[in-house]
Amino acid sequence: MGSIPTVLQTQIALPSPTADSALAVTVAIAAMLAVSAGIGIYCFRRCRNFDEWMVGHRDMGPIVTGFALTATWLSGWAIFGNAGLGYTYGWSGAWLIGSMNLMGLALCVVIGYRMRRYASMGARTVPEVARIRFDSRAIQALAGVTMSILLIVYSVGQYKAMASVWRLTTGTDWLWSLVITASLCAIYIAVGGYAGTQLSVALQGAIFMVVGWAFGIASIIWAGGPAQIAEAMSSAAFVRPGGAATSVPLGQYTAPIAPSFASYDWLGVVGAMFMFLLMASGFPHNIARFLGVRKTSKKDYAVLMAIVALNCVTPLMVGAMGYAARTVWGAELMNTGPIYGDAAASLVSLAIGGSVGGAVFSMAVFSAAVSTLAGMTMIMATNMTRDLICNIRPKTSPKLLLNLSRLLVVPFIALPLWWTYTSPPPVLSEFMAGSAVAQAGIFFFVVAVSMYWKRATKWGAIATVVYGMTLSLLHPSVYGKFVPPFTHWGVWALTLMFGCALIYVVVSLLTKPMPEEKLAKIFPKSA
Amino acid sequence: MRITPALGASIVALAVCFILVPVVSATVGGWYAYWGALLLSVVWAAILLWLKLTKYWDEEGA
Repeated sequence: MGSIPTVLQTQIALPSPTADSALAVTVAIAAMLAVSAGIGIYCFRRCRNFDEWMVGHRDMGPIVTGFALTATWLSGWAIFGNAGLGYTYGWSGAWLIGSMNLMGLALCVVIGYRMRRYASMGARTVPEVARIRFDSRAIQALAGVTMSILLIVYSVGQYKAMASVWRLTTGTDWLWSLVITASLCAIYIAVGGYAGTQLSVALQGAIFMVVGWAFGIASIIWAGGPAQIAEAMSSAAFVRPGGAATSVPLGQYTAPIAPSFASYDWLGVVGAMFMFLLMASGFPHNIARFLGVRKTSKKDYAVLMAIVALNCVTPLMVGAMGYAARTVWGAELMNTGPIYGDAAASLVSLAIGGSVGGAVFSMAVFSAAVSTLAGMTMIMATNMTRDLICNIRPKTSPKLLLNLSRLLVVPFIALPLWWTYTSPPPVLSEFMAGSAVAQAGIFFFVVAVSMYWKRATKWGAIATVVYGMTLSLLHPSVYGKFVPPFTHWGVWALTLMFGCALIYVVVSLLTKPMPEEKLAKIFPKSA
Repeated sequence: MRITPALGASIVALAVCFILVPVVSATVGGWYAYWGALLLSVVWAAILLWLKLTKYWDEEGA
């Protein structure tokens, strides 16, 4: 622990949950989820068939799309885990906080709008975009299964965020809170479908933008101002989860903690930068936000980008809460598992705003986690029905597919829920980054680039998926620890992402593209 | 895709924004690097928006 201002440490004790805070948190979260579920039920009444359940009426405007896009982009990682990153890793945590996350999401806004073209050709899911682009049912099924696997891993982080905030602010057992939240989430996805999901996540995106900004600014003031925080960080040292102190300084933008840490050195930092650049377009639950967007004017498009830019500041604000917590409480939180430094944001909100502050921030965390979860669960359920079952048995009735999709929401919510309950990751955002790299490497090329690169082939796409999934197993925390140099996070991430790029391009150039007459429909001359 | 001077300059500007993020972090550090990364990202987003609206707008005729 560094030279934390002694006055602050003695004056501001770690807040504990009280009956008041438990009640306030319960009411705030229940209200947010009830409104979200209400939107889902309203949309259910307008949803007449399987197509409308999947993409709504394709009439979403720029404000809803902008907030929905940032809501699925900024998950429990951003609104909760980022404070843990700042608290645990100091300035070196800034890379995974996503200090440059706007670069990636702005790229997604520019690239993703072309999803409209595929939606008008019948695409209702992201893998279906790949099917239309490559005229291949095999790539649709492969992409669907791959997305589901990676998204289950990513979902675990959302549950850790929700469980942690519940436990910290109410002091009660968090399993039941997860079960209740997951059930509400399942209901509004199942009944509302895409439109319900899109509108709910837009509302949730707006909530956490306001709350994140407010608490970020308040926390800097609460900790004594930017200079005080900078001074504390410059003398802080890394403390391992569990409380073992080290001499690794946290005052720089790299920290040689372990090669498996993303900011271990500048090679790792470059890996994290490219991950943030590619993953917004690579996340299927993100780019799917454009399937239901209406045709926009230039002004609308600028509004969409402005909303995205404003909300991309939110993760930095939450990161600042972590720095503030470290300044005030030192490394104390690293002693208490299983939440450790990830507790920083919730505790700061309680310290600043009391029960009401804790409740408002908890609502924002649930908003972020549930919105991303809803987007992902929707993708996973339709991956199975539209991209797998309908792919194998095209004559399956739409009504059966719709009911099956609604039913499949349950296991796709329950699987990661169980994982989180039995084996929660110690540092939430670090864990999620593993899945993010794989999604960035694979789907940035297979989906996003393929919408623009005429010469891409299905074999290039298939080879990219196979390579990306194989490399995923070599993550430093999985099998990479036995296979040097994949013990180094940066080496692993860059090999995965640049390897995907290379394989995608080389295999595409070596194999035969689609016939020109089919390509002409996808890439009209005017484009 | 034809590389016009405006497009070429935009690509160079995007690359500079991207590279400056770690350069500022390594040399200046602290809060300046933290919020500086955001500022560079805003410039990046503005360039992309300008490119989309002025050079590639008419291609999404769906």
